[in-house]
Amino acid sequence: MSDPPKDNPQSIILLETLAAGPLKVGATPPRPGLMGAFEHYGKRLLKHPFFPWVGRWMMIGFLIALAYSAFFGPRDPRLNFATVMSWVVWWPLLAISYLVVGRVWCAVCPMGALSDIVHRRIGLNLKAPELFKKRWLVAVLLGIAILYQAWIEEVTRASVSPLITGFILWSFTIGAVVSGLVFERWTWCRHLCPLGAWSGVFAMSSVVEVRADPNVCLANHCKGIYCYFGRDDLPGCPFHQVPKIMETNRYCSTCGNCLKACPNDAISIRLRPPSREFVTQKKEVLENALISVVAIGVVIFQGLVMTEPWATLREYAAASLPLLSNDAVLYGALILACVGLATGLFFLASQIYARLTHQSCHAEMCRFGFAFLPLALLTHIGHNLGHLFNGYALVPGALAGLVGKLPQAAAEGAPNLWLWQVLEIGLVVVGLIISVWAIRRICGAAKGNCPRPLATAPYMMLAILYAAVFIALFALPMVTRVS
Amino acid sequence: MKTFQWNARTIVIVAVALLLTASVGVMGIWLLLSGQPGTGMMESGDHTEMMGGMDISGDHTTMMGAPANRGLLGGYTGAVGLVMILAFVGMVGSLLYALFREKPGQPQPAACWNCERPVETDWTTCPYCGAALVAQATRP
Ligand code: SF4
Ligand code: SF4
Ligand SMILES: [Zn+2]
Repeated sequence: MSDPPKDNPQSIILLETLAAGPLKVGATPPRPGLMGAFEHYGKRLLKHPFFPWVGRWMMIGFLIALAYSAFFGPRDPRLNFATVMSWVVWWPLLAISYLVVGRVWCAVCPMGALSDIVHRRIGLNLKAPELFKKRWLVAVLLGIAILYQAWIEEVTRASVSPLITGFILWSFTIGAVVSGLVFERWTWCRHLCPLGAWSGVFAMSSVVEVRADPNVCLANHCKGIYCYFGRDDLPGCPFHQVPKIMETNRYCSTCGNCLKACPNDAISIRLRPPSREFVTQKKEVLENALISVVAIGVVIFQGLVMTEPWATLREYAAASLPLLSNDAVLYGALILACVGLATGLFFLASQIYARLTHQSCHAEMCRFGFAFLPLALLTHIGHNLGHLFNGYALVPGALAGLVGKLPQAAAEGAPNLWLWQVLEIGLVVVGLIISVWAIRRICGAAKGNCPRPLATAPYMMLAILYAAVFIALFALPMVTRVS
Repeated sequence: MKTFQWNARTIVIVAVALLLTASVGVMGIWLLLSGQPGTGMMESGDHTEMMGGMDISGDHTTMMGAPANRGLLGGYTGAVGLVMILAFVGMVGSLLYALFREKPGQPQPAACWNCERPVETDWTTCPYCGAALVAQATRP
């Protein structure tokens, strides 16, 4: 290879031009109206020196209250602050946050904050092992993370057990703190946290993104890549990203570090359609594209085990095969079956599409897999919002329990089955519309590969089938989460 | 990235990290050995009692209607215990791997094919010269 032409000024300009991507003249002008206002104030917020630390300290206080309540609080999950706030309030709000603000939870997460604090003060700052970045390991860890968070919740009944909720919190906190003590940046959040892996996947469907305007980087001849390395006392991206080349929200926590470190004001937070990054990603990696289909399977699993008929099915399964009387095996088999079925159907649709368009099945799976993510996310939100609406009445009792003023009995929630179902089914329909739109956009982004929009019919039918399964599940009576 | 050296400070930090990690493993073993189906919930319907000690032996009828004693290794706590022990093994393993195998402080292993400057393995474009790194990034 020839010497890198870094000393020749003309080459530098040429290379910077290339780095800047498609040429435009000047920076992107701010958008008018409400969108522009959102972006303006969003940027001001992310650049504020108190962001995200005010949120982080509040969440650290919240974590202490959760831990205290989990280990020393009332043992009734309907009166315990840890179970009510974790499973009835926080988990549904987290689901909504994926859509509205991406992976912002990671910016204020108390476990990540503790990790960052020890990292900055006494951390060894070792490079994260290259092992963590191996493609096969990333896929395996992600698979385990996605299956684990659904499976463990069902098998351990964490949502009805303050103590187990406490143990899960403890193991996550220790994992984060130990990573912060030993490794660089936010290694826990970037590579190891199962919740982070799950959040990253859904954040790809978010309606906001943090990105740099490459024209500004170019115009300012920025060679420092301060957004990545940091500048003076301002840290760089904790997720090892460079906003001007970033293609996905998966590894962006909206922490604002890059906005603060960039001396050229090149970075902003922008609104976007929820499926935008599916058509712009250059990296065709099958396991990434399959995540959305796996998420569909997991959401089906979560919906199924919350239906009332599931109790009967469960007894029947245990009676017919003794092995299935072990919940770990039963739920493990069920989640694998749901994921396997969702993935198998996607493979079938891709085969048909590849035949219709004379394309490679593998390449089409890489392109179209993402399209199902909005459907999975909106269904996940609908399902969890249902839990919130049906359990919010428990919050005052749990708060009273935290300060030692226990009510005699937990307030019964106000299950409004009709409202819950309308909400869930409505969100499934919205998710379906976005997924169908994403399928059309992905098709349109490569006209050569997708000559006739009609050829996408297998994927359209599949999206409708998944949505029909969700609607059928949601039409069944459901049980609430901590009762 | 500074080069890692064993000295009093690093030994103390690694020891603290191992101790904290051990707490996860110890909890896991304790949960497994408890051999109880405990979910930490009162069975009697007395919602007002605070946890005395760390009794995790309570059983209850779950929302699914079936008794909650059918988890892995005889108890739900067993499943959590097993996962915590696995997490402990993974955490200690990666810590030791990072310290002894990966020789911390070495330069970034991946470099841009065009400008030869260090890049992260998951970047698709070189931020310095704009060269596409897709082939590199998608390489298994
Ligand atoms: S620091 Fe700012 S100007 Fe420089 S590369 Fe990053 S975003 Fe562009
Ligand atoms: S790109 Fe990195 S630094 Fe910028 S907001 Fe996202 S995670 Fe934070
Ligand atoms: Zn380069």
